[in-house]
Amino acid sequence: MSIEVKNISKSYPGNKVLDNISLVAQEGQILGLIGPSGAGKTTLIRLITGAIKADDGEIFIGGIKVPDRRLLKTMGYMPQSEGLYTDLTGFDNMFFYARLYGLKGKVMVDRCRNLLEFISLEKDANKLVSEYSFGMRKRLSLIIALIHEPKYLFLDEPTVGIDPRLRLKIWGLFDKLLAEGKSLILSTHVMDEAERCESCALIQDGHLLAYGKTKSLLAGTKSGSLEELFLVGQGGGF
Amino acid sequence: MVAIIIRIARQLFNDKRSLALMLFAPMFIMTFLYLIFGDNVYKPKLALVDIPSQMESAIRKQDVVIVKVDSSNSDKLIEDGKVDGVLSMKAGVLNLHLQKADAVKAPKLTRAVSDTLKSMSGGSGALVVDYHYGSADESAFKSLGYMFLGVFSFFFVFLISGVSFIKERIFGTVERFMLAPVSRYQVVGGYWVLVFLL
Repeated sequence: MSIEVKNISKSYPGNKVLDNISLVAQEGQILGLIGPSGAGKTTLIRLITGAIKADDGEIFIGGIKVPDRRLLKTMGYMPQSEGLYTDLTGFDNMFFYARLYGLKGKVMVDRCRNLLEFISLEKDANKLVSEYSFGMRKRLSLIIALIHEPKYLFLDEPTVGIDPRLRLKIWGLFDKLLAEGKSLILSTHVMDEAERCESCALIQDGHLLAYGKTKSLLAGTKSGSLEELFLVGQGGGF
Repeated sequence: MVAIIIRIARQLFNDKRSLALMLFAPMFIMTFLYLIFGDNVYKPKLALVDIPSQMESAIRKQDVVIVKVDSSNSDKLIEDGKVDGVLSMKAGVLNLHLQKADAVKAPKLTRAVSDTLKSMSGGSGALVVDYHYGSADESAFKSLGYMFLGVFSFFFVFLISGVSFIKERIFGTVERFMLAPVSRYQVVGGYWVLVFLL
């Protein structure tokens, strides 16, 4: 039940965002998409979720070709732009998405409350999202992606703007999800986070610079850091 | 201020859809207004009660549809909207009883009858015009007000639902809920039901 990306290309008028990308995310693992901003990470995630169509190539999730309505229930997506209603409270936002996934009644309320407690937002859940700080929105957005217990999680820069203590907690959550057999694909430009991913795909200017197990990628560098791969790849850096 | 003017002009130029809306929406609306108000071919229906035959044949030359009735059921015809006015003669006085003081039918009928009188023997005989609903001194506001009430409330409902959809696009919530297992029809249906209730 892995996620397979086969020879994906995508361009918008005037620029090629992704050029012939192929990779496989194994079940029960974290795949990190790493690269500078504008590299095409977000586009790749949106392609995998089926939000946009590729010009070329195919994507399979658990053997089913994307996009497919059967997949929707199994996917959780946290967009980079939070995707929250700022004129609703935290609770209302959660309830809206929970209802879309068919949750109702006490089950829904309990699930939402548990998730809110986990990200220590339970006290602010009755406030309007417009009063939330950037970090609070990010956290709310993250748990909304988890609301229907999806099998595949796509997180676009999930830890940006989150303080180190909470970041640790969120990584703890990722580990727990992995232990439950879920698959995660996340994008980041924080290198030490990338090193916690089991596999990594380094993307720059729409090209796949390097892809493989993070350990073996690191072993191939002199300094033992992923930054080096970007420097080698472009002969320039960010 | 110049900076703001330049910025807005550039934004508008980049927003071809809005420019197209400004050009085509008024044309579209005017087409509908023509269909509503441009009914110049309409012939008002006039019921005649106890009218001398000489005058009747004169009125038939006017651009009206004539129905001959007796006085007992003329009010009912007006209330049912079967005729737009009743012309009757009582003790030598002509009485034009119009359904309502609207902008199209009432003046047409009034003109038809007074033209008839003028054409006949130098305009002798008095004409009294009265209205079944409302009165002659009703302002344009009173007769058009109800219509504009409807038009404006529809317009604002349209505006508000449009703004709320644009907000969804800007905040990226569309993409998020389109990835939930809901069909496009459910989304449109949800919007539609609430806007309909408004």
